Amino acid sequence: MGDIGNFALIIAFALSIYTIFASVIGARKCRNDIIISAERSLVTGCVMVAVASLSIVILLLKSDFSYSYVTSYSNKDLPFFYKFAAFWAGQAGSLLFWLLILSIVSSVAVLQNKEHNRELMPYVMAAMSIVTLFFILVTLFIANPFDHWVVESETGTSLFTAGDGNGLNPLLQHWAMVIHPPALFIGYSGFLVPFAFAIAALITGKLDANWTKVTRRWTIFAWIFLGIGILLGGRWAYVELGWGGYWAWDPVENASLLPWLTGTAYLHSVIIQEKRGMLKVWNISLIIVTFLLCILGTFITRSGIISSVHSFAQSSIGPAFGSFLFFLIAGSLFLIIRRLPDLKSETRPDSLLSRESGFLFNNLILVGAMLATLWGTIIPILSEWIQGTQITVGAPYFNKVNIPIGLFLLFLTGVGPLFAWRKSSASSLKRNFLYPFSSSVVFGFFLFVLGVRHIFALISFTLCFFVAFTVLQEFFKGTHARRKNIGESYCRALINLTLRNTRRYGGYIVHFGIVFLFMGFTGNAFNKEKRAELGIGDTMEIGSYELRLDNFNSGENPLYEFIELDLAVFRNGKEVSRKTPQKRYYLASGQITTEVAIHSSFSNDLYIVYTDVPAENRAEIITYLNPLICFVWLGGGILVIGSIIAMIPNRVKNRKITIFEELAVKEEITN
Amino acid sequence: MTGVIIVLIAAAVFLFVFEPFFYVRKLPNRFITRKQVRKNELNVLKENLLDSIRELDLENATGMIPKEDYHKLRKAYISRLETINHELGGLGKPDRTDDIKKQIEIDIKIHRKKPKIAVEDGNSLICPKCSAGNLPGSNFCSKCGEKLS
Repeated sequence: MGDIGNFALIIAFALSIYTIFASVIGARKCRNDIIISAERSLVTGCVMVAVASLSIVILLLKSDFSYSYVTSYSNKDLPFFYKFAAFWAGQAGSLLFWLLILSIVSSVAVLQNKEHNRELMPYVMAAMSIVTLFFILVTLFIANPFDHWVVESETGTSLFTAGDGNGLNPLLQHWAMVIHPPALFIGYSGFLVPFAFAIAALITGKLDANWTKVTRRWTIFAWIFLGIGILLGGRWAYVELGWGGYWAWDPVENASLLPWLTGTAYLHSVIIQEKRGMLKVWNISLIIVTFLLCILGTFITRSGIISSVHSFAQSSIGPAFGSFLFFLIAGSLFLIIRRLPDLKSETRPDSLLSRESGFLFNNLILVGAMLATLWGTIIPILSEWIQGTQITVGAPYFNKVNIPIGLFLLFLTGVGPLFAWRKSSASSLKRNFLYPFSSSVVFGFFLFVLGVRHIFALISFTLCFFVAFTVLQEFFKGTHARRKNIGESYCRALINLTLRNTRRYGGYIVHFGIVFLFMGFTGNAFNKEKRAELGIGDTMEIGSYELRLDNFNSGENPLYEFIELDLAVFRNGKEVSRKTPQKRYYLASGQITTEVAIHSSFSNDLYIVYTDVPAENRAEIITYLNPLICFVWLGGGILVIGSIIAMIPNRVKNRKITIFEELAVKEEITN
Repeated sequence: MTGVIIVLIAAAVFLFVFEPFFYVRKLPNRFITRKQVRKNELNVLKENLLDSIRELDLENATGMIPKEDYHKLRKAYISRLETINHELGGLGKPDRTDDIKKQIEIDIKIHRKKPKIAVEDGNSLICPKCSAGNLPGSNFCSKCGEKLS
């Protein structure tokens, strides 16, 4: 099976090279047969990568321990679910998995555009195949999952088959870890299509609105999956790593956040290009940078160049990724500089108080956040190059820099929709700002009176209120206008308003999700932590909770042995639940892990970690009280829903004329 | 067995990828004329403009934008739509069954009742004939020579 997989990869390698040359030659010579052959080659390459992927999955499910990858990341007793997930648990497998998604995404883009964007498609295929070719090269020659287990002895080398494997890293044996990497990889790969279209537009000089139209939906698609991946990663870190938080500004976490930030900036700035013909260089650069950051993310995650909690895979792929990144940066820069005269803005912003200026500020802030995070992330690499020692930058740096940036961004999220396009007059500003601003000031004062003295928390909650107010105000105004003009019920008017303006109102729902996320983040300012040593019958208090240790339990299953605490959790004197934090010993890998127990409520999470066994029948535990944490997960869900709505085409296009247009037309006639 | 599968896969890939070179029947056309490319570009521009008009109408209905600005912007959009439609007309008969295009026709009909004038859009003066941006205060279009004032 491994030989078939390897052979399929070799064929995919040959096909990618063929696709690159055939698509460019076909386009230059205007030869239909060559172009169709290139299309088929790209799609067949995808099938070959799928065959290779299927081969590694079969090897994992069959527990064929003659392959070193299977031995390293699986064992006989591993449940089916995790055996399958072992495909992307290690470096070689995850690169093959990313290659599979890249190939699928490329094929979908080619099949989608058989009749559309024909002037761009040959170069889109070439650009996508160059990226695919690089991943095939790495998978084949640097990190091949089909490598046999080879033993060297005095008589020479011989193949070896292990009796059982090392098993999957215990930290990765979690449901979120099964979905998190695919979501992240789909996000990363999804940005390949906008990147390839941008490159094709630069090569052909077709820099009109067409490429932005094609790429917008793909960008939202990739952005959603990247967001889901980041959230699931946070959830995994929260329940598995046992330090009480979900985001540690770890290099690998940062690596996934960077393209998300620039992707967010692009989704805003592309609207200005569509409406006003501005920011053309900025937009094309932004989408290229977003994809380059995806490659950088993989470089950081998989090269092991920076020490991280995700150090599941470290190897020699660093130089290959570094060189490829350099090639992409140089190539993209050359193309952009060559086309600079064609990328001039058609107009300039009329006023600072306009929606386009709001978007521009939002872009600058997002890119600023990206650069600050990137700087903190790569400083260990730079310091090692320059000084020979690795200087690591911890969470305090990222918090110090990103908290003010984040708050300003939150402010812009609220302010942006209140500005009109082109310029906002004093009267419209007064009308649009009066209620949100005055009520937010009152709300902030109310919080102060209630005792909130943490300055950032006070600002953050006030801004959250402000943004939520503006979003609800927008929905109310639109719904009210429909009800007044058409006579629809409020409910119907709200649904129609959203479905007829999906990008706008889907975007507002995303903003609402952002509010929830910021409320969750702000909860961190009020976290509490307490350490205690308990014997049976002992109690400890944290916040309004009391914990009582009732018993010690132990047990085993084919994967691990465990010892757990039986804790009764009381809130305001009443028992609310029983929790069993564990310590586990994994038999295959010999690793000891800590399994946290969490009691969640709407207002806070009680997070219990069984840290140590100081003496017989005694346990050391750390408890954290994390306020408002459920808002993070809730906000993530709202963000995804809003993004999906923004992706749906406007329903209005199927109708003859919208009611607002009808009204406007009547008005125009009377004028 | 593995060898046979590998040979079969290789043969199937070779036949599938290179078959277009030996195709007897007519292949589907993957190339479009310059005219068609321009037509596609204009259609995308048209869609964007219609979206912008719809959003502008919504902002007007919700009181987000002053009336004066609303009319100014809408006029600029319609002027551009007219120019695009004019060029599209020259490239081939517009598809009348498409709702979007019907909408443009409505807009154009309204606009035709008024004299053609240059419209200010931001810091530029949009030519009513070719929709090129000109410096404010220009008397003639720098691209097509149309009278602007």
